[in-house]
Amino acid sequence: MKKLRKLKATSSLLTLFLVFVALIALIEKGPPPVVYLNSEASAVNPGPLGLFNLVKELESRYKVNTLFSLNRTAVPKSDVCVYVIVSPSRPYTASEAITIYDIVSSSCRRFSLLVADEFNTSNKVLEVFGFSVRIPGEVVLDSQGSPYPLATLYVGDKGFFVRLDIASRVEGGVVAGRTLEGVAIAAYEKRGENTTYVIGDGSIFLNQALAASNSVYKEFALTLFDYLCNGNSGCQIIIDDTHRQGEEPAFQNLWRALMGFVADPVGSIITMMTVIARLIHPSTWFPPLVTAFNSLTAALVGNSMVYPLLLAILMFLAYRIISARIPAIRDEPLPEQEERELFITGDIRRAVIAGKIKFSKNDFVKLYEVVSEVLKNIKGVGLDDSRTVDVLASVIGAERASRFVNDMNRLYLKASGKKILPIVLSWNRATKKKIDECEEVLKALGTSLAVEKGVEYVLARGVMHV
Amino acid sequence: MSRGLEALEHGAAVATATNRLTPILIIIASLLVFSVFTPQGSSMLYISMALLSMVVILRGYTAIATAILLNKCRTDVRVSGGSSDKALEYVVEISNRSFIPIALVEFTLNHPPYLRVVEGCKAGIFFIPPRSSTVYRVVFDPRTGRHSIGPLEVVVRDPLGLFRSTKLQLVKPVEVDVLPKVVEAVARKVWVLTRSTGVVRTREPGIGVELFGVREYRPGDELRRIVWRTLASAGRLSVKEMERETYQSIVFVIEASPDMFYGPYRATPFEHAATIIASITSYLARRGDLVSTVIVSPLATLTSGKPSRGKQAHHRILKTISMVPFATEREFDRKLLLQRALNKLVEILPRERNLVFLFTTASGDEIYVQSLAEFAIKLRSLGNEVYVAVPLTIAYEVRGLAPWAQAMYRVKMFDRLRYEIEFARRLARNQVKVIAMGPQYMPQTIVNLIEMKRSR
Repeated sequence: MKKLRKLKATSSLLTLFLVFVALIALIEKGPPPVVYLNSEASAVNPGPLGLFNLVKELESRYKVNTLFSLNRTAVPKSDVCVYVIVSPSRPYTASEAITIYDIVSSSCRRFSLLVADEFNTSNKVLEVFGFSVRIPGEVVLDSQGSPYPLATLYVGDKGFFVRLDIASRVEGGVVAGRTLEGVAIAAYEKRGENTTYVIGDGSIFLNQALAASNSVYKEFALTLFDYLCNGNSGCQIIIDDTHRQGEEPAFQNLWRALMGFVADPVGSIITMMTVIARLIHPSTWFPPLVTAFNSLTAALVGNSMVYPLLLAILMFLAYRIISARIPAIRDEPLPEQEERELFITGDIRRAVIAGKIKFSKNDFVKLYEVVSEVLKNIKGVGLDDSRTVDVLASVIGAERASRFVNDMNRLYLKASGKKILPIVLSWNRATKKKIDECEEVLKALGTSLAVEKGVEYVLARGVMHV
Repeated sequence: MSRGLEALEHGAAVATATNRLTPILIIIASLLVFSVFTPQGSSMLYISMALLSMVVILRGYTAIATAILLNKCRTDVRVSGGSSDKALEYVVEISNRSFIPIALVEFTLNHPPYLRVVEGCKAGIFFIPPRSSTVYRVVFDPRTGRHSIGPLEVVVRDPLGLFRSTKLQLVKPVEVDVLPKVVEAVARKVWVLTRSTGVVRTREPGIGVELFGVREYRPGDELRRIVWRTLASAGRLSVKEMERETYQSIVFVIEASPDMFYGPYRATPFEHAATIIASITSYLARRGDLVSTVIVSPLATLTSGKPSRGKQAHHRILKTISMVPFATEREFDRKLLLQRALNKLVEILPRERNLVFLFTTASGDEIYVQSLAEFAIKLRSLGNEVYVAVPLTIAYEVRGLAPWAQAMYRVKMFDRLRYEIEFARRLARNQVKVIAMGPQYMPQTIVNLIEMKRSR
């Protein structure tokens, strides 16, 4: 799992770039189709004032087609059609009415027109369809002066007792419904094979009216559609949703939805989602952002003090971004293998070879001891022996032997602190000089300090225990 | 021969930017910014894009060249030599089978620091043309023992050095065993010496190659020994009698502790001991003696097996010495080394009358002296004769110095000499037979001891 989490298909930079391209593309495509907040008698409004419940009920019985635009191809061919207009928000123009007629007449062999409207907005349609029924748009009041009169509506010979909500009277056709006060509230008219049923109130089809189970409104609506379809299950119901005002989503809607959440939770959620979808769409925020950035840039570039500074900062940022993508390391050459000679006394050997060796009085003592040991091994006497001069005299001459032995002993006593003289003495120089003298004496004795087979062979002679 | 390459470090071989790229990136960044914020910026944009393209191309080239080196190149390694008297030649041929040249391959050859390069170079740069090959050759001054040469490490760069690969191991380390040199002069010298002194003769008839005399034929004598000339001239049937050859079982032990590897190039106590053993066993092989060797070092315990005779035994000894690794920096217990040597000797030695020569250094504390004494006593108690050969360091380390420098060096190092002689004396006091000397007389002394033992 950890590996999967680490799996990265693209780099972050590439992802950012793709997001940027997508934003530009979305903006280039233009503003998104507006999802209107519909609080009217629309087929897509599940709120109390919508027709959503009616559409759902009809869909279980017939083919239902909701028209959001007057598109001829949206309506399939059918034998029987019912064209439904419920409380349109704005009036139909003549051309719109003709288009509707063309659509219906070309798609349906026989059709019915159902108009439920409180105002005179649908009259043009009734006129173009050739019906004489009209809705004057005058509100009917009951005997108490209330705009909610009780009325009986008839479908065929079946009557439905309902309360109307700000209804209008109707004129013309055969009266199919009256208030208790006798005002015609619904009318029926037949022209050829086509029929119209006009009600002066659209609210009887709304969700709030149909919501209750065993509602008389629901029963009326279903009976009416059965009647208009003439019991034909292939009947096509065309809901006209083309004349809705709608409302563009805005912050206010969001606030309103929150306030009305308890009363209408579904509607509130839809409202909130619509508003949020609108707000996060790049077309809402990206152009203003670019404009602001553009203005800012223009302001900065226009300032002669800020401009060089801006360039420098941008150069630095560009360099940092590029160098972060291509991290650099210091290019060191590969190390060369060193060769090393190993000597137990490597330091001294190197110093000797380099000519940097210095002798101290201890070194003189060593020289003294070397010569003395060699003499003991060869002649049986050491330098400190009184017979040494005589022994050496036979080898290097009496005078030289005497001087050599005396000098060596004198310096040895000085080095070992038993004598003070000579007061001023360079041990380095004295030792070097004595090395040369000793070498001559040792050569005379058959050995040497300066050849490969040196004094050590003499000194080791007594060790062999074979 | 090895195919392909291996990444030395844990990651794959990737092209990494070098510090040379930084100024170019600064220029690119500057040009990009100016191209956006200045009125005539388009030309700057083109230049920056061109530079950026160049960087991308070079990076791609480095990655491709590295991949080719990893996957498409073939490396053949040849090591010739293998004897301390022949130059040790290390040759690597890298064949580029692709159509893309591999430019600027920096290489460095790792080798033991105590091995000296006499020809060629240890580090440098080479170029491998497409469908062609490049040969790298380096020659070492050979030293007896086992050496690990390599790995040959490389780094691939683009021609401008803006990018480089990680360090790659082009060739794995190769182990080379260098046989010790048989100094013919030494072998001949000891041969002549022993012949002239006659110490090898037994003065008894028997099986051998030297003529002892002529006697009357006795039934059962081999027909091929009949002296036909005597039969023809005197009509008497006589046969040749040969002098009985004596043979001796000799084992050389080297305590290959780090001190044995310190000293002048090719003349350290170990190398000297190796040469001595190689030369003496060459002589002893001709004599028909039984010879063997045991070498204990902190890294290995090696033996040529039970004492045997002839050229094969000699060759086995040379091979065993050539397998000794140079152990110069390991901490170890020298007493343990002696114990290991003793165990191995007990395993391989014939019942008794063997000669054992132990080569060690004249350094160590009292515990080591006691361990050596114990070693000798245990072997003596088994009927063997043991000699401890300790080289005097100074006699080795003055080699190669000018005469005046030798004199100075001897004076300075007298304490060390005295210490080593005292070490030898301490051994002698513990009834250990010691050979303490420099390289000059060591072979002759050892051969004399062998011949003396034989004649007893």
